[in-house]
Amino acid sequence: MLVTHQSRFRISAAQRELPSVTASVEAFCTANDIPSATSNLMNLALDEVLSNIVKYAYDASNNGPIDVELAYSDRRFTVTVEDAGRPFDPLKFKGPVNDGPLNSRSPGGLGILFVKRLVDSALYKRSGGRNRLTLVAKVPLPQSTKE
Amino acid sequence: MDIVETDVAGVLVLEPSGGIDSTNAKAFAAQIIDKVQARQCNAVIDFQKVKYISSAGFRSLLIIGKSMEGAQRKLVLCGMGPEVRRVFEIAMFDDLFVICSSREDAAAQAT
Repeated sequence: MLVTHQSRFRISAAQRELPSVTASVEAFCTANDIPSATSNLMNLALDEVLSNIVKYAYDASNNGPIDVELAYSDRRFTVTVEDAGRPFDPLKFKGPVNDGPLNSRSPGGLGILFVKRLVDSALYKRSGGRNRLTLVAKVPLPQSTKE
Repeated sequence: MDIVETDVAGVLVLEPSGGIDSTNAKAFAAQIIDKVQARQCNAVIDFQKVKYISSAGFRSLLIIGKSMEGAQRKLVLCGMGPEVRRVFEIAMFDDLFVICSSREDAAAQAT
């Protein structure tokens, strides 16, 4: 039987709440023997996604909720992020990524580029008035320590 | 954010640790710029203990880089693990900064 380990929590859409998510991801990965490389890339992707929701999803006066679910099954670490803010598919966003000299560089668009390139799959769905983004990172088999 | 400072042959080596993300990126830039201005020297940022760096951290690197360039000081990066290095490549920041493997090479480049 396939065993799925899950953890769910809700934060409000405020910057000060984000360190608790980073800590939860690290604790979940440690508890499930998910390597730090996977934990780190997921925390990077989550920083992009969550800081976007904090900035844009809700009106300034309203720190609405963000629901985060962590799941690990069949060597797939899946993180689902949901908010009830304005409809926004971050995967469709294209920023002005460029490769010019220092003075003309803009970091716009880098965040979503990281999300797309670092995780193994990213899926956006709008349903029931909620944005739902699902990120999956495949967890490599541990290197055998035996000869 | 904790940033360890070391002097290597007159070059200021700065070693941040943990994740550099939307929570601490502004403090990261402000601290590095303050430390360089206080010491008036070239600098190396050693990424050995950096777990990950998100786009907010890259924004800070641009601010630090422009500040150093404006003051005509050299900035060299070093100590990146493979995951951090990969993110620099995705961002195309690997040709924007001088990146060395070892701290010694980086300090020599920054002299």
